[in-house]
Amino acid sequence: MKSYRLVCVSQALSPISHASGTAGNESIIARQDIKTPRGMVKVPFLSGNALRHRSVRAPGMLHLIDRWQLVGKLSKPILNFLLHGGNLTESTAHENTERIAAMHRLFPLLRLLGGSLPNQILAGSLDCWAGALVCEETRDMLTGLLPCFPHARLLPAERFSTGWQYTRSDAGRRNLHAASPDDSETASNLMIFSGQAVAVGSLFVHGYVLKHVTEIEYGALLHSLTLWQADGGTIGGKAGIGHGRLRLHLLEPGDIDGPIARYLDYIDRVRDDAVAWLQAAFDRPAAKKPAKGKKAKGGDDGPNDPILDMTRQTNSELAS
Amino acid sequence: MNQALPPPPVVIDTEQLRRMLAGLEDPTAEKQVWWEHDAKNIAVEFCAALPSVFGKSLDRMTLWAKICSSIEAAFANVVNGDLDQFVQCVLEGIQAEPAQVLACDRFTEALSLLHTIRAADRQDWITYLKTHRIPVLVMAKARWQQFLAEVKAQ
Repeated sequence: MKSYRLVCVSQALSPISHASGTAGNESIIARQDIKTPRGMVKVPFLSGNALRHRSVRAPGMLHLIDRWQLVGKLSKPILNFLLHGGNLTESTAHENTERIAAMHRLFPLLRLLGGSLPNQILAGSLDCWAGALVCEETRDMLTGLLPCFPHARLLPAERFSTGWQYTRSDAGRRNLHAASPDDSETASNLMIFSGQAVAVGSLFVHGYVLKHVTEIEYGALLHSLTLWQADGGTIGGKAGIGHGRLRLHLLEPGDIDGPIARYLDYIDRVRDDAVAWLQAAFDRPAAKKPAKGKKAKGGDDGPNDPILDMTRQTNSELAS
Repeated sequence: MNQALPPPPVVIDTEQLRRMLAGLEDPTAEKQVWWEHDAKNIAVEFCAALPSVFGKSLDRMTLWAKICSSIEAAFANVVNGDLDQFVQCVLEGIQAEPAQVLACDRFTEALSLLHTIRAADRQDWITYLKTHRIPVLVMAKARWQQFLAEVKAQ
């Protein structure tokens, strides 16, 4: 077991539209406040949440589902757990260390990411940094991190901000539609929409810290990053129209092929046990309605409770 | 299931990272003084000479707007500090007639001044003019009007 720190530099190959909201029809990119000598400045960034999902969880888990031939065989709660971290849905949460240990053994990627079973939160061992735009405003953040940060002044953050504008057209212009029985279909579908983006060529520094993990778990992260890049390395929105492509550069990561190969070999070996673990973790007996009236007071057989049944049997044996 | 593994992400070392980051340096950072004096002076003189060769086919009312847009277009067309190509693009933008340019002493002087810029600084000068074009044109207009007043006084 050891800790790994993987520093990455990702270059924007297309406009990055990692949005934080809208103002009217305009999409606004996510920015974070950075304290600089000239005051607080809002600088575009990539959230750790987005990077964690897009670059690690989604590609790794989708591969797992495909590799283990589980497409169409998993319930939605299980898929939400694997692909989105799940959520705590039961009121009686409890700690099951045996279940945690089994998960760590069977799912190297889940050991990194953690998640939430219906009644248990599982911590992960991966810290995913937010992506910092390389600019003059992030000099203090990045100087200690990167071994060769330039001494010369960099361009300010706003030089890397750009805009885009697209149009959604109206089919009525082609005059192919049937006559409308009333005026309800005459409204134009035309809409101009626009937004902000981070410009092509911008650089983001981000990273991953894996605390006390095995080489197989490191391989799980590297494998996810490889898959992410192979699928375009997208982040943020509008990937369907060409936005969001990042080219990932790993800064001196050491051996890549070895850990990935060991990870893939391992998950092939534990497949059956891992699937069984998933089924058991999400298997819930049908909930029984609370009893009322005589039944609630145990007037007849009473509610079907194994502990209560054992108690009644013991009392009955004692009485006889 | 055996799936062919895609190629791994690009791996870089410290030197490669240094080169990537160098591309983000502010080109004006080490030339602040030069920018504020010499580059500015040359830019103003160059722009103040352009009305002398402004195309007769264009509406004179669009003089400064046309010069401004020509500078922007020329900047986009030149990436290697080629001053002559930059000047050519600007002249094409304002539809200057070759004969008129050749006959214009004022423009010839401005061009000579342009060529006093060191080769290493030429792209930076082009960038300076593009990024400061409106304040430069304000001063260029004042210089042009001063020139017209001098001509009228003679």
